[in-house]
Amino acid sequence: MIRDITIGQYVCGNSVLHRLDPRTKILSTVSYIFALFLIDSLWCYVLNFSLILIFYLICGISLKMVLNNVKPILPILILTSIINLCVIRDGEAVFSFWIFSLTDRAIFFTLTIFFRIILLIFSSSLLTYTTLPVDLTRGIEKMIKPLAKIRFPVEEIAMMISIALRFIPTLILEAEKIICAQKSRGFNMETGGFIKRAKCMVPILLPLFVCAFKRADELAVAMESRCYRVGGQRTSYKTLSFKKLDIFFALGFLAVLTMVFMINAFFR
Amino acid sequence: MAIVELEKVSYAYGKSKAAQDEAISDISFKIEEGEYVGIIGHTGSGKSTLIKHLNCILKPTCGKIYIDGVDVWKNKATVAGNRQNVGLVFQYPEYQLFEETVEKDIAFGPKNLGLSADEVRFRVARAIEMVGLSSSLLGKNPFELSGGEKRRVAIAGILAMDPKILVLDEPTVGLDPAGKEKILNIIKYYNRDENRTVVHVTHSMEDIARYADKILIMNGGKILSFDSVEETFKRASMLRSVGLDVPKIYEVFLKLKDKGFDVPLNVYTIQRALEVVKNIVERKVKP
Ligand SMILES: Nc1ncnc2c1ncn2[C@@H]1O[C@H](COP(=O)(O)OP(=O)(O)OP(=O)(O)O)[C@@H](O)[C@H]1O
Ligand SMILES: [Mg+2]
Repeated sequence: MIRDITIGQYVCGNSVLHRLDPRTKILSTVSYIFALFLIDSLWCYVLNFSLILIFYLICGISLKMVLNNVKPILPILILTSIINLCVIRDGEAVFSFWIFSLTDRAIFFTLTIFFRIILLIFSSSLLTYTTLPVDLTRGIEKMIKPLAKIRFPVEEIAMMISIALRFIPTLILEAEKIICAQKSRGFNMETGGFIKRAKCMVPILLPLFVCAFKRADELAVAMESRCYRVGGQRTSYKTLSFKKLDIFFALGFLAVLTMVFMINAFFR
Repeated sequence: MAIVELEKVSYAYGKSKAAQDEAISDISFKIEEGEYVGIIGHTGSGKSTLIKHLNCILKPTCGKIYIDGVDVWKNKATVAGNRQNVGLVFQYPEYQLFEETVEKDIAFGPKNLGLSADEVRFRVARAIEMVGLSSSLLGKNPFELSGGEKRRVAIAGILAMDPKILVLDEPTVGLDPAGKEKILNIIKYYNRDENRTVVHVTHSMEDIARYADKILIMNGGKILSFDSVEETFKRASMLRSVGLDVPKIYEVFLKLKDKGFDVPLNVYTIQRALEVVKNIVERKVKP
């Protein structure tokens, strides 16, 4: 079901990660992802993986949730892995059969890609699990604030992001309702090939779009009637501030990442 | 044989199996063929949840559902067959319209049933006539219609599937009195003239009192009462205890009776009241 996908969902809690400033978390996540793409030693991936597992343990979020996010892309992941394994020919052959041969490079490369993508999902999910969408956008807004100097519409973009996030659950509910309604008109989603299935989405997607536009219209009217104005001066109810905890966390995290890079450089 | 039979049906949203989380619990009732049943109850009492079971949209966490004598959850074929037998009109059905013409949209259901093109055309023509819209609308884009017209097109989409049991969830909500009247007449027509079973969820006692044979009252996920219209209204205090009301006109007659007037009590609609009053006046005039 669509409900099982939990990307962008917040899990209530009061762990260290929950209490961090959103900016700390965003920057940490971004640097973690950068690190993922820069390192190329398998041991470092194992290290990164355990690091993320520790974080999941700390904030008490079950791995089942994030595994649900991995599930939809698993087929693609496995397919690319298989293609990689077959296509990459350099390196020494470890195993060969008929025209196929597996080289050590191929195995290494495939594992790297696999780890990267899985860890990408794990880390970005962790960010949204522990940060309220409003805090997330406020964090982003603060971080790109300097761009306002070159007339970049920072506030408007932040508002757009928070509205988009706000309406994800609403649209999911709406989609479920529409699916039910079309089902009772004999609509059958599960059969047929790819093209046929894509065509099948029309009875769901079209009403969903109509409904989304209608909501957007209504929201615009509601905002304007409360005097929302592009470029207006606004203050916010909650202000963000870095605390001691953020400094400790950032330093600790930086230390760990540096260590990972060092290991990566020395132990190939 | 009852056309609809529920046997100790319970349903809980989410994964919880605990009794206190059930949206409906331990529901059993029977509806005979050709009956018009009104379902009424406080908001959140489980009406929508209940009727989604009639159409296999929700699977009961426990209990059995028999439609037309068939245990609907027996296998895939019985579920598909059930969707043919039962036509469910959701709340605000106009939001499900998606085709570029009214004709195509009404034809969506019949086509899914696998009918021939001729049969589909016949069904569409009949359905649009049943809902009282001119066939010149068939070529129009459904998004260009008025709210009331859209709703009637959506209902026509269900009627075109020719369901043995028509189930409607608050079909008149958000319409003007004229639009409301039209919808109620469509439902009555389908019940009386086509002799089909109707289950109609509403918040309006007045609507139910006019055409329904029986009233099912839901309260807190359970059935509070399921009885004929007369018997139900006789227990006005029970209705008030769960925040429901008897029709205003019925209350007027209750008060009249209290004051010592000799009036009948089976008056639930303005039309009936008019007849009764006329009757009384005539009796008075002619000695
Ligand atoms: N999708 C859902 N997920 C979880 N709980 C739900 C869901 N839909 C309904 N419920 C719960 O089930 C109960 C019954 O809801 P239901 O929609 O059947 O009430 P209703 O009688 O139709 O109310 P209304 O008159 O407002 O339409 C409510 O307590 C509601 O909170
Ligand atoms: Mg309801």
